[in-house]
Amino acid sequence: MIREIFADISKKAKNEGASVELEASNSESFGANFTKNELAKFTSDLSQGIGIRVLLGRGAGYATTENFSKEEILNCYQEALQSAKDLNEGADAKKIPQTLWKGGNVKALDGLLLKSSFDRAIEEKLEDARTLEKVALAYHSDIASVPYSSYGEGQKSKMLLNSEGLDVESQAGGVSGYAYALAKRGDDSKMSGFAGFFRDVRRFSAKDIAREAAERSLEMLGAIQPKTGKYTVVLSHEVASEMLGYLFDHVSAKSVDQGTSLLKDKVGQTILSPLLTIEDDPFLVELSGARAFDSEGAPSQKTKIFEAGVFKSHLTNSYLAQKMKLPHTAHASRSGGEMGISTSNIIVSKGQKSFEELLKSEKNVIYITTVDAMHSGFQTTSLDFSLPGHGFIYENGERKSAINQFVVSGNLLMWLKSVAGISSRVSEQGDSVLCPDLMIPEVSIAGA
Amino acid sequence: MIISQALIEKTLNEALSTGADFAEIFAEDSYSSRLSLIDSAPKDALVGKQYGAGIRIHFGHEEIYATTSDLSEAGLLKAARTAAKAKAGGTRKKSVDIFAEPVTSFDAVGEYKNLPWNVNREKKFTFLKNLDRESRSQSSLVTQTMPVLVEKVQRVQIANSNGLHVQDQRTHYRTVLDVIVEENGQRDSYSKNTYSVTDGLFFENIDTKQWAKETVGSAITVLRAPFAPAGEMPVIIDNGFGGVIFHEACGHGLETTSVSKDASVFCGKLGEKIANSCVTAIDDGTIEGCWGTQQYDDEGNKTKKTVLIENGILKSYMVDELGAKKTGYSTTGSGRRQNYKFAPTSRMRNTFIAAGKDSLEDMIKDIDHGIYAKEMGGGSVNPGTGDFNFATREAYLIKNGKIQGAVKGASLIGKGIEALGNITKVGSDLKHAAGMCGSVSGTIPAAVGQPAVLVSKMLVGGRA
Repeated sequence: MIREIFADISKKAKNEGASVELEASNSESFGANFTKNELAKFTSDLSQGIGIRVLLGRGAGYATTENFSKEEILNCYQEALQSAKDLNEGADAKKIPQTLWKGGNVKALDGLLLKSSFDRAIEEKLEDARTLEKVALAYHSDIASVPYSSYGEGQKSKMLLNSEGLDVESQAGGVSGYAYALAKRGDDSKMSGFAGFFRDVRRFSAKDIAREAAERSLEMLGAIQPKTGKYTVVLSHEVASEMLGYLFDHVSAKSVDQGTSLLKDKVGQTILSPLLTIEDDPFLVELSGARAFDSEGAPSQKTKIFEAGVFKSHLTNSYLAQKMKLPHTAHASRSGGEMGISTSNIIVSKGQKSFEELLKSEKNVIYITTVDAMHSGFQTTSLDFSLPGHGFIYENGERKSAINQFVVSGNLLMWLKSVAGISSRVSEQGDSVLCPDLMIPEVSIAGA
Repeated sequence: MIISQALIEKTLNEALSTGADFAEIFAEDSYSSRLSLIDSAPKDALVGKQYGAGIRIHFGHEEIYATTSDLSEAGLLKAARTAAKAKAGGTRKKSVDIFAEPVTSFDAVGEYKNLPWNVNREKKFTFLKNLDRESRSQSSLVTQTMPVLVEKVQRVQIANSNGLHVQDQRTHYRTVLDVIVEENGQRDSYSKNTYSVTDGLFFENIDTKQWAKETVGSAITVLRAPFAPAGEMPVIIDNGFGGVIFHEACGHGLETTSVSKDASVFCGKLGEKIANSCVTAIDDGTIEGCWGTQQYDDEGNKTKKTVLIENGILKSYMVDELGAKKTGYSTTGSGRRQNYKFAPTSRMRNTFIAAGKDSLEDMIKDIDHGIYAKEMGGGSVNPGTGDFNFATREAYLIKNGKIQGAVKGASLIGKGIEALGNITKVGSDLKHAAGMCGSVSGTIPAAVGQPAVLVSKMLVGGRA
């Protein structure tokens, strides 16, 4: 039905001198969590959505709807067309018109959707949800509660059509789980968590996630506040991956075009430590960012972004590649009216040292396991940050004490340039950014 | 109505078929629009429509929630069956019949002037262009401006097996000015927002010149500021968005979402002194024109004014329907959700520390070495441990009883109960400000507020 309606819309667009693109998606998801051994929440979601992009001259209009009636889809097209007209009238005459992707050789990515999860009996899924709480609670008598835990699974199918004849489809899915355990001893209370995403339910273990969450909370009990000063820090691979995500706004050609990138005119320059080689790899299907094509329908490709610290490439969509005369890397993603840019899976090459060897490479090391409040503590324009942290003090590779109630601050680009060590350990939990543990000297810590 | 009475009846009865003791349907038909500029030219013109329903059933304390964006009879009954089947094998305990008319119609629920689809888009772009021009004319250090206008009209219909049936319309209009400034290779940014919950033409009353001047002025102040010192010191948090301290440090821990799971440091403390006597804190969903105000919450209950802390004594939690069942406390009209895709939980509305008697000048003059946080950024809290943090956007050093130069990068961290105990002075200049609050039931508009307050000691995370 959608294809028939789109054929009608394409004709209407042609009569207006416009071109049009339609993305239709259907998704199904399930989630459950237990609190105090009772089913606290059971969620089931059936969603559908349509996004229509109309290009007219220098204007690009975008509208979305969740109502799949023909009348509403046609209304959606009219809204997008009107926006394209409005933006065309207000556009800078020097702006080059956007064009639609004319289609290419999209290869199917096997393994993005495994039916094994949705085929399981509901009782089996609920048992996994129950296990996330039960196993964490039973792990130790100091685990007082598991305030947050959840089992989830989802699958999504997507169809992308355009008036240039593009017609591609994809399906993806996976299972996920998390647990946050609250450990209490006297007046001291600490909460930590653990999470994982897997394409294949056979790799999902609720017990492992629950045990890891409990262990992480328990080891923080008795944490002390470190003294204010400068320290050599090892960022856990999880924290390093999370922080690294902020760099890629500046790698995007869109931010260069908008004058907000710190990496403008820096291709070919040494930006990061020579220890860091980073690429975008959409073909690692077990990771959550895998995709066969981008939001314009362009076939995915691997992109080397940094090699031994040297900046190699911005990430582009077809419009910005043409406008800025950059290689087209197929990283289009919808964000608002304009076609934006997003990474797929970011992979940082592993180092030679084990995590333990990295901790031993300096006498005194602060190992940071988590940081909070990235959304408020990170200044995305400058990449300056000031974040509450949790972790451990190590001496000669031996753990001495848990630490918390401190703030770690610095600038992400300067940190990444000063990376002095890198481990061979990365997350195995399906994250879309895989960065090993990183050692950074002279880090500012505010504490006691 | 989004869904007919007959279909509500059928859907709720299907949801109740396996023995649920409560069933509810929350249907939504919403409109949103986002217009923005970049490089002084229109960038975005996005229109979105959200359309769907969430069906919630309770078996005692257990909650099942199924959503669908197919509001046909087949779609709704499928979602209701999915919910009911979560407890397959049970038998019906109750049913609903001859469903009541909604207590209000969309047009009767409030005064809504100039709904967004009735306002010429050219007027909106003209406003954004004025804002852009005024910002760029303030200083040659301005390298980019990003003015944005966001409009949302949410129409909801809520019915449940207790016979409740209401319709509500909520309008939220917000404009944000984001400017980037650069000098000597250094770059920083600053943003300010303003809002209305009633009038789609609210932007016509904005003094764009003054707003641009303030935003660019703050951006340049922050750009040129050195990093804040690190360590424990007294902090004055100014009025308005400074109220985010109470929102993060205490507010989330007073929601039954946390309290019912024993996951709040405020569990079991009703009637106890948890703050200095100068602190009275309120969550009020009824303040006219305020960002978090609603006639009905997202469970169809009338919103209320809830005194949380009175002269330092904990008086009430914020309670939703499920929280009421689990804790035994009465609902406070605090059940909220981002949209139909989220089951409601207890959430804040307009939360603020009530005005006291102190003056900002008195607070400053007693401090030898501290921080005056004029504008706050966002923050977060771990309700289970009470650990909170938030970022300052514009802060100044205080030395020897006087405000000195600006500093940047100062995060404030602490524990909720300790911070409440350390509030030693409360000003008389109460002011509210708009924010977006994210939690388990999604991201919702919520106002924060306070007069200036003095916290006698906090950990400031500047540069060591």
